[in-house]
Order: sequence, then structure tokens, then C-alpha cells
Amino acid sequence: MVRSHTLAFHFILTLSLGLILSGRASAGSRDIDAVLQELRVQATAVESISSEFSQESHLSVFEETIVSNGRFLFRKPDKLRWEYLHPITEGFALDGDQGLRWTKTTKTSFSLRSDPLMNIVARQLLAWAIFDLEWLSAEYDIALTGESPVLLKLVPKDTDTSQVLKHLLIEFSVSSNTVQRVEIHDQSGDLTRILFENSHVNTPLDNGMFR
Amino acid sequence: MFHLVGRTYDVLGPRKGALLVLCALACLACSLFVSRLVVREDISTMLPDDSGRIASDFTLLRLAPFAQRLTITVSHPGADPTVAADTLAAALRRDPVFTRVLTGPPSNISLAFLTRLLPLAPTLLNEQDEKTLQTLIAPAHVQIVMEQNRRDLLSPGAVALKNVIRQDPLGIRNIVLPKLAAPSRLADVRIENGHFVSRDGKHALILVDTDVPMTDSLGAATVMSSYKKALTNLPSGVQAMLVGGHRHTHVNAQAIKDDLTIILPSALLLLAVIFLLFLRNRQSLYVFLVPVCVVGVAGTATALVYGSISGIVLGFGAVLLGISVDYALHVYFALQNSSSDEIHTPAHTLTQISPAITFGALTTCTALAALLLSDIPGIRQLAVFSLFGIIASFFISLLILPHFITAKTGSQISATSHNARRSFSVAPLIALWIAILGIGIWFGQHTRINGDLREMSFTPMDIRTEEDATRAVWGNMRDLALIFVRGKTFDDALEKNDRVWSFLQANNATSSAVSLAPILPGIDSQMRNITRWEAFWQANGQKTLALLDSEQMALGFSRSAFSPFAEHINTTPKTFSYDSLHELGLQEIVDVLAMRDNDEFLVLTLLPDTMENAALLSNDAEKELGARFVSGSRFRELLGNAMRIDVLWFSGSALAGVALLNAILFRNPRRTLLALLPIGMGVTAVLAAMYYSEQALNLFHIVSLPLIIGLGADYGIFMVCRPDQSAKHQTARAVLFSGLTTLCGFGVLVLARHPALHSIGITVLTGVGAAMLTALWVVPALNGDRQ
Repeated sequence: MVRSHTLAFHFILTLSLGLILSGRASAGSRDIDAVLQELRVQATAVESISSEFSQESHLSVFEETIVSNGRFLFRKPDKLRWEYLHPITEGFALDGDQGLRWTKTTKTSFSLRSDPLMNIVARQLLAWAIFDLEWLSAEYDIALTGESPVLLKLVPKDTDTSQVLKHLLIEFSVSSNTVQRVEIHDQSGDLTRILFENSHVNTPLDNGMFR
Repeated sequence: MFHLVGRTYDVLGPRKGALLVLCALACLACSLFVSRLVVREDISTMLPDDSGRIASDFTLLRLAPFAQRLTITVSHPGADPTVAADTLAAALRRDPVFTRVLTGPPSNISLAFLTRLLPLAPTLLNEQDEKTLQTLIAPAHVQIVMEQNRRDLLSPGAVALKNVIRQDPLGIRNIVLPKLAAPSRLADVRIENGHFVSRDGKHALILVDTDVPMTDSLGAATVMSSYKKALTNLPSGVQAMLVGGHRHTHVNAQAIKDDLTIILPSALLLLAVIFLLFLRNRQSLYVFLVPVCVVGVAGTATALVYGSISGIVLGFGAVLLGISVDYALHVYFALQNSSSDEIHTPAHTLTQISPAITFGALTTCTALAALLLSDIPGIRQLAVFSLFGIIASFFISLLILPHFITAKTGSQISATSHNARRSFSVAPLIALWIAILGIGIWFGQHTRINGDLREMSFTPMDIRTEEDATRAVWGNMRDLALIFVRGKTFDDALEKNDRVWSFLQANNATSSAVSLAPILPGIDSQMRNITRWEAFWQANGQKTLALLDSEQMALGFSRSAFSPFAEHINTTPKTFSYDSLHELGLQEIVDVLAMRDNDEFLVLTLLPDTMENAALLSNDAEKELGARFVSGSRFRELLGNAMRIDVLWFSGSALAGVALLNAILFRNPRRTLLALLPIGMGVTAVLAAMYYSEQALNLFHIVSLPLIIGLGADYGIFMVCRPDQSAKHQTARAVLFSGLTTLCGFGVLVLARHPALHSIGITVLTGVGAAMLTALWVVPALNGDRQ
């Protein structure tokens, strides 16, 4: 259970990275190292992120494609909020060691000290937020598949992860400093696509959003 | 027969020079041999090795999960302890002495782990679990769980959870998972980012394996030196505490080595001081050399018998120095007062004193021989060492030493003047002695016996403190009780293990227990569970699938969404094996709880070492279950009981042997009893002293009792024999000096830091002191030897 949740958060954090990395990694003929290096430098300037998202679940377990909407918030050094607003109500928020998890009918607070699962989330988030390129390169083979807009393809190195996850695609907007599309492709051919919009970097975020 | 001693003196007399050279060469050879001996500080030599329960319990206790393993607790105030733990672990892994270093659970639990749980369910779910299963198929639960499944599949984690949910939409895995997670009860630990972390997050745990046996002192020194080297990699502010048998072995070996460097020279020095202060005679040097030769001879002979020698036994050499000089002193004092007249020739004097010395040596040997009955190899080695020493001392004193002692001119002391100078009232002395003896007996019978082997090893305060701190952080993971079952096949052992688990369940004792039974039952139990599983789904399968159908339609799931689940409950389940748990990544816990022992398989259950559990696993319960309950506390209790028996056995057999020899020597009940008085007082004094100082008798106190009996017997025999000999022989003086030299030998043992050596020292110091005083003052008074 821990591992599968870890993978789930891994995806979330991958998305966070995408949002943190600005679209200034833009056109021009460059190699992947230069792009990643540029993204890392830009990530250091990010203090907070606020974005809405629309998620399309093209899964064989559902009769139809299901579209859900929500929002994502992050503020340095250790605040995070990931929530679905429609058609389901579910999410979690973290503020340092303390956190809250909710559905439409339930609300559960937790502490990172007593919840190893959420502790993993926080630790990984920090690693992504500071754009630990070493860690990222250790987890994925990263390829630059498009330059305008910048499109990164992340293939998991870990054979265990690669049994279920085929690859991730992250596309950056040309016109703004944000990620505009993330696609999660699994080995059975299912796809989850997340489109980000109204992304804002370094805007003030109220503490209450993380409690 | 004793005339032979006098005749041998006459025969060897003309060859005095050759005798001296021969002796010197023999002693030199022995000393060289002893100096090159492999000295073992292995504490296992002080543990029982018989086939009885104590020995087998001890062997089984060493199979406990943490018995051979080192545990390191790392903390870094104000920082993440797991970072420091990783640094230390990396340094430890670079050293080949450490075969395995774990900072967290094995990371090979695969993503497919959750999908493999459902296939395990038919074989693992027991009668109680069937009730839980019933609640999972209730319509209300199905509705809730399907909604949750939908939410999970819409989250970004869907890619990981999809196959799990398709295969197990009802969450049956949640009944299986706690069974697999039960081993986490082993320690008060949580997993954080792949690390073992304490509940408060302030400490990280490192588990270290090494092939070096815990009791190997040289190996333990290497382990500790490698550990200290690895510690240098830690940044400042990081604290690390190591707990493990190797650390104990190392400090004990070091303590014994340090003690030996003090004890042996100190004993020699004290003996030299006694001779120089009281004897001031060039010839006394020969007497002084006797114990030196004796230790060399005894060490050589013991090493030839055993191949090596224990450091504790060699430390006992100091004691032997004190004992072995006794016979030499008697000969010395007797011969110093011999003369050329017919009655007092050296040969005649030797013939006259040889019965007392012979019987003294025989009684001491008899008392020491009682130690050969011990189950403890170190004690048997100690007995062999002492016996060789006493025998060597006896022959050197009677056959070789006399040729180097000449009579002191004008030194003969008149018996009359001697007695007149020392005459005093007997009655108050006897009364005082009886009072002391009475008090001693009264106190002595309340003396406690402590069977805790840990109390017999040297444990410095820093180790004690760190062990307490480790226990406070991680719980009593190193002090668990164990229930062992054996089987000719692995499955036999698993079946017995199932019976043990059922027994614990029936007695509500499973809440803190860790067993393979819930995660790897025997084949019979698996088949019973499978039959129950099939019956359950035959009765409820169609109804449940219909319920799922209706919910999945309402929530927008496709028709094939949960087909893997339908397929699973309609397929005949298979049993699974040891290898299945390995494939799941659970080999660590399987290997901890199951092992091979020669041709048999051992499976163990771990549970808290409490009085309740010990009472539950009584001998009858053990027989009924075909199991063996082993715990530290029960082991200590068993050892304590065995030691009580040993006290009686050692002391009884030594006393009986000594009494018999005395009876043969004196052929007079009154004189026999008189000769036994020093023994009675010596043993009583030890018991009373232990009670007064609020100490419990440990194994080494008990081992020392036969020594007191042997030495007490010597003193008794010498003093009772005294009237038969010429007053010139100065028997009392010889006994006094013998006692003093013995007390010097034992006195230095009191300086030892190691509890074993210290215990021997303090016991014999008290016992021999009391026996000597009784022999010098009470025995002559009662024997009519004084006014």
C-alpha cells in the first residue's frame, strides 16, 4: 500500500516540478542537459505556485472518459495543497509536520511524525521543489521530445515502476512560465491527461489554504 | 609409606646440582610455553555445555533475532537522524567484517506486492477472518468501497492502484495486510522514507550482521575497532549507540587482560614482600619460586589437555600462587628446625610432616575435583588447572625443595617457652567462636543466589546506560521470549507452529506475539482455510458479483472493470510455500522466524518475556504442543536453581571427600571433627559476608567454595597433626604464613574489575581468612594443644 501511494505522490510531485519549472525553457536548439540546467536555475526563484487543473481519465475501467477539475497550491518550504473539486471532492493539505486529508464527508488530520506515508510525500515534495536534478536523473531517463513548446518525456528507470508506468509527458507553455499539459501513460495503454490553466508563480498564498 | 619421602631425600641428596638444573630447565620451558599460549577470553567457556535444559536453552536463546546482531541507534539533535544513519551505514558497508547493514526494511517489496495479496487470501484467512469477510460483502460496505475505488481511480495514483482495485474491489487485502505487518511488533519502530525511525522521529536504527561469533574475543575486538573507525565518518553532533554481544565480549576480554596485568605481578610482589619482611632468608627464595614453577607447570598441563586456556582460569593462577606455596612453607619451616641429630635429620623431619602434607594435598585435590562435576567447561578447566597445580606443588615441595633448605643454626625454639608465651584462656575464645559461627549460620541461610549470567560479566556504566537508552527508544526487542518447534520437514515444523499459535490465540496471548503461523501456515491449515474460502464464495459469490454489477453500473465503471475479481473467486486456490513469501519480499522475517538446525527445521514464535507468558508455557503446555519455551528470565531462574543444586553438590561432595580422608588419616572422630572446623567456619563466613553485604551468590562464589573447603581442610589437618610432631616444626607459623600467602593471592583478585575474578577473590578472602583464624586459635584450643 505504501509503495502504490508513493507512486501516486510521485506523479503529483512530478506535476509540481512541471509547474515549478517555468516555460522559459523555451525554443531554440539546445541539448537536454542545458534545458534541465536552465529549469533548475529557474526553479530556485519559485516561492509559490497556484494553478487550476482539468484531468481527463481515459481508463479502461470506466465506460467513458471522466473529466475532473481541481487546484494545486505550493509554497516554500513545506506547504502543499492538492484537491479535486468536481465531480469528486477529495484532497489533502500539508503544513510542515501537520496535515489534513478530506473527502466530501470525512476530514482526517494527520502528523507526518505518525504517518510514514505522508512523511514520504513531504520529503519528496521538498526534493522536487528545490529541483534536485541528481534525484530526478536517478529516477527517470529524460528526453527532450519537443522544443517549441518544450516537451519532456520521462521514462522510469526502476523496473518495478516501469511495470505499470510507461512514461510521463510534460509540456511547457510557450507564452507563459508554466506547464500546460502532463500525460501519464500506463503499460495497459490507459492515459491520464492533466491540463493546467491559470497558473500563477510567486503570488501570495494564504496560510489557511494549507491547514 | 611416608618413609619413602625421607628415603627419596637421601637418594637425591648427592645429585642436588643436577636436580636444580633439571628443575630450572623444566620451569623455564613451562614458562615459555605458558607465555606463548593462546589465551581465550571467550565467555562461552563460562556457560554450561551439557545436554541438559540450561545448555540447550542457552543455545536456543542465541538464535533469537537480535542475539547475534548489532543494533546501532543514531541521533542528531536538530537534524534528520536518517541522514547520519546513512552516512554511518555507508562507512560500515565498506568494511568486510560487516556482512549486512540494514537502515530500513528490504526495499525489494515490489509494486506488484498488493496484487499478490489477494491470491494469498484463500490460504491465510482463518475462521475469524471469515466474519470480517462477511462484513465486506454487505451491501452498505460494497457501496462505500466502490465509491472509494472510483475516487482512487480518478486520482493521479490510478496508474498504480488500477490493477489492485480491479482484482480486489472489496478490499480483502486489508485483512491480509495486518498479518504480514505483524512482524513490525518486533520493535517499537516506524518506517520513514525507507528507514527505521523511532516513534518520536529523533532516532534512526541500523541493524548490522557479522560472521564473527559473538563470543570470539579477538573477532569482537576487530568488530569494535571497525565500528569505531566508521564512526569517524559522522559529522559532529551525531550520537551513535551500539548494543550487541560483541561489545560485551570485547570489554570483558579487555577487562580480563587488564586485570591479568595487575593481578599476576601484584600477587608475586605481595608474596615477595611477605618473604622479605618475615623470612629474610636467602633460602626463602626457593620457597618463593615454588608457586612460580607450579603456575607454569599447571598452565602447560592444562593447555596440553584443552589446546588453549581461558583468561579467567589463568587469572586463577594468582590464587594458585597462594595455595601452592603452603606445602613449600610447611617443608621450609620444618626443615629450618631440623638438625644433624638422629631424631631431627631432614629425612626424618620430612617423613614426620609428609602425612599431614599428603593428606592436605589429597583433601584439597578432593575438594577441587568436585569442580570437575560442573557443566561449565571453564570451571572444569579451572579444576584441571588447580589439580595439576596442587599435585605439582606437592611433589616439588616434598621431593625437590628440601634439598635447598638447611637448618637454621640456633633457631630451635623450645616448645615450652613457645607455649608459655602464647597461653591464654580458652573458654572465652571458644564462646566467641561459637557466637560468630552461630551468627554466620543464621545470616548465611538467608543468602540469595543469583543465576543471571549477565551479572558475572563486566559491564561498564556506559554500556549499561546505552543499553537502557536503546531499550527506551526501541522497546525490548533484544529481550523477547521464544517458543521453538522442531520438525523433520519444514511443513512438520509449520504444523506444530500453527498449534502453538492456536494455543496462544485461545489464551489471548497473540497481541504482542510475532509468528509465521498467520503468514505461512502449514499445508493442513492452508487446506482447511482453502476449503472454508471455497465454501464461502460458493454461498456468497453470485450474490456479491450481482451487487458489484449494480454498483459499477451506477458509478460508471465498465462491465469488465472487476472481471479479475470474479475470475479469482471462481478459481480453485493453490497452497503456497516458503518461496512465495520470499517472492513477496518478506524473506527477512521468514529467515528470522525459521531456520535449519542440522537435519531438522526450527520455527520460532516471539513474544514478550513476561511472567504471564512463562506461566502459560508451562512444562505441561510444552509437552502438549511439542514446543519449547525459552526466555531470558526463565533461563536465569533455571540457572539459579541449578546453582543451588551445585552449591549442595560441589560443597557436599567436597565435604564428604574431605571428611572421609580426615577420618582415614586420624581414625578418631573427635580429631576428625576438629580438623573440619576451619571448613565450617570458612564456608559460614562466606555465606554470612554475602548476606551482610547484600550480595547474592553467583556462579563464581559457588566455584570458590570447594577451594575454601580444601584449604580449610589443610589448615585443620596441619593443626590437628601438630601435637604428633615436634614443636620445632612450627606448624602454627607455617599455617599463618600459608594463610597470609593465600590471602595475598586472593587479595589481589579483589582488585580485579571483572566480576568473575573479583567474586573468587572476595569469597576466598573471607572464607580462607575465617578458616585460618579458626585453625590457628580454635582448633589448638579444642585439641588441648594450648592452655
